[in-house]
Amino acid sequence: MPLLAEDRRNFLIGFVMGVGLGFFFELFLSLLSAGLTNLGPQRFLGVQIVIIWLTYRVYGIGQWIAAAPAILYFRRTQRPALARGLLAEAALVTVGNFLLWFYSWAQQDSFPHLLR
Amino acid sequence: MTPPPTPAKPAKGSVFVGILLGAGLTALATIVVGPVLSLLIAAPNWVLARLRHEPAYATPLYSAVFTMGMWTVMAIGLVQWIYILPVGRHFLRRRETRTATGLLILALFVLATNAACWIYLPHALNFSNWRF
Repeated sequence: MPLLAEDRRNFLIGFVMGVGLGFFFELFLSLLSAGLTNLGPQRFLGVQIVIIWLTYRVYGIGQWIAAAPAILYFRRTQRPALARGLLAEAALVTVGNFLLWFYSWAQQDSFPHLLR
Repeated sequence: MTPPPTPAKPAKGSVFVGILLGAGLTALATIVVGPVLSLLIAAPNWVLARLRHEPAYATPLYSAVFTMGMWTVMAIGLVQWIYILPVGRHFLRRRETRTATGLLILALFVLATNAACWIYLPHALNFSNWRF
């Protein structure tokens, strides 16, 4: 397979990996939040508010907790196309999240409508 | 005289990449394919229903597509093999056995979780009290 096609293929794999990483990152944190509720409704409220902000409200920023180490790992292990795919996906999500906030601001509301 | 043993080919790919790729495909299948499939076919159906002054949800096409979208999520443990098997075979053909292994690990995890949901849900929702 020519190098360019190989790069494109790995970029695509990296992009899909980014989708999976984000999805399971959010799923894991949501389950953690639900588990904390089970331990006591008000006991870990502060932690839960942080989790909810990271996974829903400012997900575009919160996702970098998972994405950044993965990107660095693939760069360090000499797989730049995979890292580029992950980076592209994470950047797209950040821009999308920002657009939601912008939409919400344009609607004169404090939170994004679509995430409420 | 016995032939000299051929050196074993080193396994290529990465289990981590396989697991993350499988997670991405599962995410795309559950959050994108189901709803998009539903919307794509429901939209013209909705227009037709509006022209006929009928409710869209009552038409057979709408309910069929809705059911497909719903089952893509509810039976993901079985539906996932539609894309896991070809992608896994692609990696095996390229001798990236580690990536294929990661993909298989994720697929089995999804299958087990989906099965656990089906075992737990009847208890949680208490289907025995339902009237159909």
